[in-house]
Amino acid sequence: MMTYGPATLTDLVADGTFPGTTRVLTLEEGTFGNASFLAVPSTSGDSAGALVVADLALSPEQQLAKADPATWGQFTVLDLDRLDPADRRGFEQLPASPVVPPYEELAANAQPELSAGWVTALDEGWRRAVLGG
Amino acid sequence: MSGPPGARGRRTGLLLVLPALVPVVAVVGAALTSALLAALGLAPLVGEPRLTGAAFTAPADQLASAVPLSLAIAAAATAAAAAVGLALALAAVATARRSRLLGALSAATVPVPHLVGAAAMGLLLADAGFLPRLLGVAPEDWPALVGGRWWVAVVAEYAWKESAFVALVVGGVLASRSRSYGETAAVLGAGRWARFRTVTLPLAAPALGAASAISFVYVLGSYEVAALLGRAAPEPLPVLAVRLSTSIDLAARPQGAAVAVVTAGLALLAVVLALRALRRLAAWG
Repeated sequence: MMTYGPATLTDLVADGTFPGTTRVLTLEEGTFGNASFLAVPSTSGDSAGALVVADLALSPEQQLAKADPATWGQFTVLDLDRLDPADRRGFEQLPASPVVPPYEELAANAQPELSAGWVTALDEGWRRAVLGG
Repeated sequence: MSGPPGARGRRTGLLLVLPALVPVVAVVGAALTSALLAALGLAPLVGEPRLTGAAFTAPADQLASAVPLSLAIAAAATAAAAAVGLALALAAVATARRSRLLGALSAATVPVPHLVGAAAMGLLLADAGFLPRLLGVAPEDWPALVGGRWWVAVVAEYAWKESAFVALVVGGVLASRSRSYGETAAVLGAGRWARFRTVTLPLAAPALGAASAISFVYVLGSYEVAALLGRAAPEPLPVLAVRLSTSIDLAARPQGAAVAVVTAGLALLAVVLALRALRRLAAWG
């Protein structure tokens, strides 16, 4: 099975959707990797409010809740070395997943995604060469 | 009758037409004007307005394949709809009892939305659809009627829907007029074929021509059936226009408007040619 991200796999194995033998396959050549981000449009009517929400999403509490496999299981974007010891402990005490390898192993050879400028060219090539070929 | 209409009569006629004319001119005029402004670079999303024909030249190679494809789909669907619609109308007029059933069938087809018709046609004609299952043909042996090179399912859907419309219009004209003329011709010794060729067909021709013209222009500008049942490339004009207009590349939006303007121009040309041809046809009746 292919998935866009392994975050929910731990939960899906736990609730029986996938068998207990499910493992994430890491590729030697590397994998595409990205981080979720929030953007505020320049035309936003309430930039200040949006920035508060963005700060909230980046707070250690929210990042920890998001990293908990029981919630979502997404790796944090925070640098643990720069956190308060109390906050860091929260991340260190997260249960190790039997299904998803740790972040260091998954991200070992991560490649950035293509620039957004390629999107229309890829779409066009797919439409003409694959769908219409 | 009060004699030939004078200036007063013409004015009354114009006033009677106005309630229908004003909304049409307002809606179509506003739509065409905004499309033209966008296509000519005078209504950009970002930057300064600047008169340019770039939106027409940039998609030139796509227009070169879209225009003949759209014309071919519209012509094929209209020809099939005209033939089937005329046959339906003739059958409906031939016997009074059967006419009610045929009329009801035709009338029931007209309000079905094209999108629903397209979905049904896809379920019927696709390689895993109802028809190959019924005939016991394996999907890999079934021709690509949906999404194939020849746009069969698209033409079939338009032909099916428009044939009902043609039958309704032509049937209405024939029902009111052809019987008495036909009987007169029969009394004068005309056979079936001669009656069809010299009485029924000339009587039906103006209505058939008008209904065909409407159906041709409709198919030329219609989006959903070609989008659902057609091939991804090459694209007919409306599909190309919608794709360019909704592209994440905002610079492509004027090109979408330009394709829409070209489509509207082609439709207008078709209407003018059809009206000229119809004027000649109508001389008899």
